[in-house]
Amino acid sequence: MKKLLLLGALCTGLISCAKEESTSGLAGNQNPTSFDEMIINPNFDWETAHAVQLNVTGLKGGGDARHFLTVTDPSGLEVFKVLTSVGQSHRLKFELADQYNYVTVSFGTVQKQVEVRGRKAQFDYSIADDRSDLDPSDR
Amino acid sequence: MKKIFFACSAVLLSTLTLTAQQSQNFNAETSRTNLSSQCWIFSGTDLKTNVSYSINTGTEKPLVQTSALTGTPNFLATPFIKFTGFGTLTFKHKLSANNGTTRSLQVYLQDANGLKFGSNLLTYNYITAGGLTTVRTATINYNVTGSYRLVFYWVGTGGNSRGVIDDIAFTTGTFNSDPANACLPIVVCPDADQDGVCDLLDAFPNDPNKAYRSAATIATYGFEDLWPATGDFDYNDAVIWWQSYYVLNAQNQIVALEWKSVTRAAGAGMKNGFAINLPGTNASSVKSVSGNVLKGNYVATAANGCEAGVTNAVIFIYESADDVIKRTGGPFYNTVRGTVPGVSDTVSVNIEFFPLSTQPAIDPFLVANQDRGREIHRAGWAPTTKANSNLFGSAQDETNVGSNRYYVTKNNFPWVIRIPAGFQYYYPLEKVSIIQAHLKFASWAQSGGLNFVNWYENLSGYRDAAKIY
Repeated sequence: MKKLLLLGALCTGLISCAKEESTSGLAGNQNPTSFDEMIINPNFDWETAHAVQLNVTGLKGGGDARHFLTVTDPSGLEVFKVLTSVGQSHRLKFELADQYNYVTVSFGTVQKQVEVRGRKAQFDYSIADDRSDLDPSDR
Repeated sequence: MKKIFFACSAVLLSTLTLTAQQSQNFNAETSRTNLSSQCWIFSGTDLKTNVSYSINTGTEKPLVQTSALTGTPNFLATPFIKFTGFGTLTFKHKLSANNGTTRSLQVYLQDANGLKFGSNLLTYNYITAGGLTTVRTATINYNVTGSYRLVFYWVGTGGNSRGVIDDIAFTTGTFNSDPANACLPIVVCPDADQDGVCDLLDAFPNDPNKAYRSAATIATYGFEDLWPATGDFDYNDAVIWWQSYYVLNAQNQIVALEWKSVTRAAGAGMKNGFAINLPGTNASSVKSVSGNVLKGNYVATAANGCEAGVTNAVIFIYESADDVIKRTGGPFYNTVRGTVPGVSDTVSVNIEFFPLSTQPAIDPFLVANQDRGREIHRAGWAPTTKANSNLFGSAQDETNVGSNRYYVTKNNFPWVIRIPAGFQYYYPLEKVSIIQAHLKFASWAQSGGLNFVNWYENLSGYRDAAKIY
């Protein structure tokens, strides 16, 4: 039993450690007191935010009423805004702090959280369909 | 007299009219999801692309069917249709199988409050009519003005046959639901300047050349001002918060840039200027500049307010920080504790453009000690043509124009740090390296930006409060 508890504790410790951002494997002093002790990748761009490309797929047959399409980061900061209609497709670019991996895209009453992966994101106007209105045999 | 009048409720076996303004035959759809997004309502009904009891054949097979009719209502509703008077509605319908105790279809209008409007356009009793699986074509003449949904409503008991429908068409009226407004009818709102953007959305309702502001860009820049030599890496020789909005017209073209900046910290010894470069935007694209602080010290401007003699649009915000700050606490401006904090003017600059189709990038840079050629940009950002190229590669700078390497040392250290945050960013005290004040900065930098991407935030263990101004 003791061995089991020890193993459990060890696993918990490992998981906890895994949550910390790893600094192992990096060149240079991990606790430098001056810049001279740091080793920086020559390709590092020093940017804390980067451009994200958002591909918007327009909805055919959705009408031409215009609204603002807005993109909001997880802190609630609006990072992009354009006037458009639901039928228009776009390839949009906006800057997003590197710490975020998703944004919220809103277009009037349509709102979706979209994942940002490889500095790209996709958005369309389709709504979720849970099919709960259908007879169970038809879902 | 009601708005609605039905000359004829139902006529069987007529053909679809060729003059239909709007129609839906479901042939382009593979599921009901896209139609639901277009404001069609399915309740106990589904789109099917290939069932044996289809109304049409081949690629025309897709249709809408109900679940088995077992006493619960099933319906299909169109988006709102803006009716404009007399017209004809046609559709094809039948049951999927020859069984059922009761089976009927009702067709009616529904208003924006979800209430039935007027009497049924059609009430069709399949059992009474007989020939349950025979394809029927309903033709309904109407005289309707206003926005309503068309509702196809099936009820039935006994058996397992389904209601099926296809080829819905109407001759006058247009689909008018707004998917971005809970599918309610599209509202036409006043547009005082007639630029095509209604006044509710128009931030400039009386100016046809301007419609709205973009999202704001907010950032704080921390500069080292000894370039091309390195300094103490406190990145507080100039700390400048800025916010900008683009102003766009109804065609989404850029017509102005509204800029605001506050100088939060400044070095003691240098009188640094601050400017923005718009790479890729020709100076001739600028109509006018106003609000910037120029005392005529060393910047020559063209008639449009851009710096003269530069191809790109370069706009000076100020020539010297001392023109916009008050050093009330001695020579150091907001970098040393125990002194009275200095204050900065908020400099608001308005740049008007001839309409631009693409949003210009903004490259704010420092001009060190009023020496116009001594520009200090972010790492990787090219200087303007006014930069003194003799300084590139001197002291610790390793700029190499030929390989697009700008404003970094041999070890790839920059002279500027950009933080994508406003006043939440707190900068280091005088002569305190940023890596001692922001404890995760070094990990972030040495990981190539992978770890602690939010190093500038005020989280537990992220800052040494004793080393922050």
